[in-house]
This record gives sequence, structure tokens and C-alpha cells, in this order.
Amino acid sequence: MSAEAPILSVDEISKDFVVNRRVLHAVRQVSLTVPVGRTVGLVGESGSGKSTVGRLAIGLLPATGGRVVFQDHDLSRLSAKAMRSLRHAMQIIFQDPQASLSPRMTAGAAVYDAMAIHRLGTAKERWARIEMLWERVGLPRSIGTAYPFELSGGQLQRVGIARALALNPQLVVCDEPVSALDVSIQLQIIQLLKTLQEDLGLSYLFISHNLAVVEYLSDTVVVMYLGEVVETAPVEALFERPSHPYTRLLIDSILRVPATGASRQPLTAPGGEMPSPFAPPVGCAFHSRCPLAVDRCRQEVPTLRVIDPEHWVKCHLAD
Amino acid sequence: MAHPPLLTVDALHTHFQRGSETIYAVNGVSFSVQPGEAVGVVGESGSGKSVTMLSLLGLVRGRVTVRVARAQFKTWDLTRLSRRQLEDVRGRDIGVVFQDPMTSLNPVMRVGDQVMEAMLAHQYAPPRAAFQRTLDLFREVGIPDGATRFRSYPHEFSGGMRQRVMLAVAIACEPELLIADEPTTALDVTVQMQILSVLQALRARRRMSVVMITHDFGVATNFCDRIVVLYAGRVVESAAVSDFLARPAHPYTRGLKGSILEIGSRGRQLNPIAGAPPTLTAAPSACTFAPRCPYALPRCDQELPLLRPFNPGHEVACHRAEEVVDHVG
Repeated sequence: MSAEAPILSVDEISKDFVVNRRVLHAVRQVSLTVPVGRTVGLVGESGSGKSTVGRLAIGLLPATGGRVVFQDHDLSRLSAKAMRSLRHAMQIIFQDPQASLSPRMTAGAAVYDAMAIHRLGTAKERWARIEMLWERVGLPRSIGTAYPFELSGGQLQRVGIARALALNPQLVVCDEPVSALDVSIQLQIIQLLKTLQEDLGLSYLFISHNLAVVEYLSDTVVVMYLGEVVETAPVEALFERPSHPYTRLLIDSILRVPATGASRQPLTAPGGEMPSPFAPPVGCAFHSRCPLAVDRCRQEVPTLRVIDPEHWVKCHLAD
Repeated sequence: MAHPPLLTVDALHTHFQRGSETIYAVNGVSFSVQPGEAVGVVGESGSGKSVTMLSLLGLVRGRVTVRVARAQFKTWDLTRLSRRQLEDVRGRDIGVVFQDPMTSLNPVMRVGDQVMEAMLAHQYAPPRAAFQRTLDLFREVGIPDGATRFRSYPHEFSGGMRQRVMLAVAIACEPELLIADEPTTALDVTVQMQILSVLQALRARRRMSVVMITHDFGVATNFCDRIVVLYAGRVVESAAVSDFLARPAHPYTRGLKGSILEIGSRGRQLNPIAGAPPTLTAAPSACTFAPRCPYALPRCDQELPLLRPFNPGHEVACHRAEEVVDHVG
């Protein structure tokens, strides 16, 4: 890793939500850093808190505790005005581009609007930039006058990407950007994200439940379970030596297309359900589903500790 | 074949009217399901995989035309059944599970009552027996503590548990055929594995046939005996899973298989299929995949390829299937 300061560092961040007068610890003391021009993959199942971390990371949600430093700015200490001037540098693309685009606005107007809100350039410069952006994300110029309902899922996601790029961001949070797309379109978007990173030097925080996509795009992977980081490692180490039992469970649960009919995967699954996030298990949060759990795991909270350079695991038994 | 098929569908067409346009969603789909067999109906969005099943079950609504040469389930001609009769077959002899259990379950009805209702509506069991059987079904689909859970409402359940409830409803009257439309797509991978293992156990125990509609080749190839691939409302390939894996013959199937990102793909060149599926606003008169196909010849733009035998038990709708397979092995 370079000595250059990371573009983003999230330091022991926590987020509580109050739901029906009960406190939900959605994110608990999560730390991660995104180096300049790199991709950090954030994986976990629904309810793991990964999307909340994405929103905290770019100041879309205020944190309950901890801090987020973007470049040299501590987001929690910024004035609203200073935050506004920084916001263009941190963009987000969502899973469902249809829901994030106004149905009454043409694709061109949506991108124009983003630049107008941030007072970027003159009207003429904005329209010129839009033409350039369509080419960059692989859309025909005619797309500018189309409404969202006239576009396919893949085209919509490209419009969403163009809108994020319009503001010249340095960090893009990608929240399940390909999960709603067909496989052949998924690959096209993944390829596009990779090319854009190489050409523009973007840094990504890539959130997904799809481990194969995360492996393909990420340099570092962070695995979350019930609001906590349970394992983080460089991508090769995480997939070659997954050390937390939850990471292993996630990897083993993926159904691959077998090479032959004889090499099909057995469809067996350990029992156990994700516990209620309102009442996470005492001790290790994963012990109720862990095949290896011993008494210690039911009593003592494990600490996130290093087992290899840059490979951290929150498990009593990992070595 | 020793047994007659449980379900035979021949030349199904489903067309929707949207404004002044006709959407040719299903264009002559034929397939059959043997007793005890699990068939994976695979395709991308817009391929017609769900519309095919909904058409057979009489569940397509709106300005729609359904035509079919033959739709036989057991001894019934599904096209000749009244709406009432079809409703009775559906739910009793054919169970159905959809992707999103929250929209299929009644939010203001206790889950146990919903399972019981399935049995009472089809006069499958009297109330007392239906209650006891609901508890048995909960055990069978892996809902622990059934007597307590009986009284819960759907919103009190996780996505995986709701899908188990849907399964219990679907299999309550011991159907011979279960149609599962993307049953695990909305679920996390660990929960998907749990639901598929429950489904597989049910299949084995009851000798139930399953039609699994899915966009996920991993799910289809690991769960099913046979794969039917749909593209633009037509079957482009149908094969036993071992043939499908060893020798896929349609260029679309090959392209789709090559598009799957799996762990270990890092650093590898991606080969997405170029372009996008057709818009379905015209009836197909040539190969609908030709514009995206690396093997297309002028003939492919002129002549509609019919589904034809390629190998025993393996059918393909491609003019050049033999050359495609010989060329790439």
C-alpha cells in the first residue's frame, strides 16, 4: 500500500436508529480506509449494516459515534456550507436507478440538474459535458431526451453513473449497483466501473452481497455481520484463506455452475437464522450460527485482531 | 418413456396489448415435465419465463391473448377448464411459490391460518386435521416452534421464514407439481441454501415434480434435472443438466454461461454478450438472437430456427448448433 493518505478513513463509526422506541445498533464501531484510486468491497447479508456504512461514509447520515475523514476533512466537524462544497467529490450510485431518477425528467435533464445544483459550469458547458459523459458511459447521444420508463435497467444504471460522474467525484459509493441487472448486463456495468476507475482515478467503496463481483473489483474486502466488521483482508487473502466462520459460510453458500453433472454441489445448509439486530447474541454475535462455537464464544466478545499482515479477524478461534 | 409426462405444453403464445402496441411475450413455447422431475426454466428478464407459467395457471391479467395448441396436466386439458376448475387445480394439484412472499401472503392473517385455509378451500382436510397438518408442515419446511409460530403474522417473520410459510401453503394439499418462480432470488445466499435444501428434501420425500423459474444458472444447474433456456419468448435449448453442462449448443446459452462471474474470475477478461435483448414488439420471423450472435449467417436473419433434436434428450433452436459445438468443443 502506498504511503499516500487514504481518500477516506472511517474510524470506529457507530450508528443507532430508534425504531418503535427500541434502539437498534445498526453499525457498531466499524473502521475502514479507502486508499486513493482503490476499491474496498463491503460484503454482508441483509441487516449487516453495510448500506448504512456507505451512507455514513459520505455524510448522507450523521454518525452516532466515531468519525469519518474524507481527504483532510472530518465530516462531523464540517459546517453545512462546507459540507455542500465537498459533496460533489463524494457520490453514490444505487441498486435501483429507476427509483433514483425522477420519472418526469429526461436522462439529460437529470444529469444537467446535478451540475446545476452544484453550480458547476455554465449552461453551455453543462450540455457539452453531458455529451461527453454519454460517450464515457457507453450510451448513444439520443439518450439525453429519453425518459426513465423508456430505458432498460442497464441503460438506467449507466445514466445513474453519468450523473455521479458529472460532478467530478473522487470517491464513489456503489451500493449494489449490479444486483438488479441481468447477468449479461451485470458484466457490462462491472467492466464500465473498472474502466472508469482506471481512466479517472476514482476510489470506490463497493457494497454488495455478491462475493464474486466484490472479488472481481476490490483490492480489499470488509465482511460485516450484524453491524460489525468480522473480517477484513486484501482480496486474495480473504478468498484464499477466509478465516472467520461467517466468511466461510458465505463463500460456501454460493452456488457455482458445476463443470459436469457429477460435480454438483450438495444442497445442505447449516440451520440457524440471522438473530434479531435488536437483541444480538451476547459474546460473539455469530456464535448462534457458528459450527465451531465453544463456551468462550457464548461469553466473551472477540476482538478484531491481526492474524496476517492486513488480515484482521474477529474470532476467538481463528489463527 | 415409461410414464406419460405430468405436464405437456405445446406451442404456447402469450401476447399483451399495450396501447397500440402488441408485446409478443411468449412465442410458441413447448416443454414437458416428467413425474418427479425438476425442470429449470432459465432466462433473463423479458425472456417470458414467468409469463409462460402464469399463462398456464390462468394468472395473466389485462389485455392479453393466450393461445396454446396443447396444455395437458395429468388427464386435464388446462385450456378447457373453467376459471373455477383451474383455481381448484391450482393450489391443490399444482402448488405455486413466488419470489416475494410478502406480496403473496395476507399481511393481516396469522400464518398458520393461511396454511390451513389452503387445505380448507380445497376440501383437502377438515379443520381439526388441517390444524394438526399445519404443524407437521411447519416442521417439514423448517419452521421451529410451530405451535407458537402458527399465531404469528407475516411481518413478524424474516424473508427466509416467510418463504418457508409460502412453501408450506404451496405443498399443503400434496401437489404433484410445484411451480417455483424465483423462490430464492430475494434471499441472502445462506438463506437461499436453506430453502433449496428444504425443497430438495420435499422433492425426494414426495416424488413431487418442480418447475423452477430462475435467472440463476447456479441455482438451476445444482437443483434441477433438466434445463430449458428461454430467449425472447422462445425455447432456445432444452437438455438434461449433464448435457447442458458438457455440451451447451445454442450460442446464447454459451454466452450466458460465459457471462457468469464466479469467485476466481479476478484478473480475467470479461466476455459479456454484446447488445441487449429485442423489444418484443414484433412476432419473431427470424432468429431473435442473431443480432447479438457471433455465429450469425444471413440465413439467421431470414429464417426462424425451430426447436429440433440435437442429441437424444437435447433440443436446440439454432441453424448452426452442430458447427457451433464442433467449432468450440
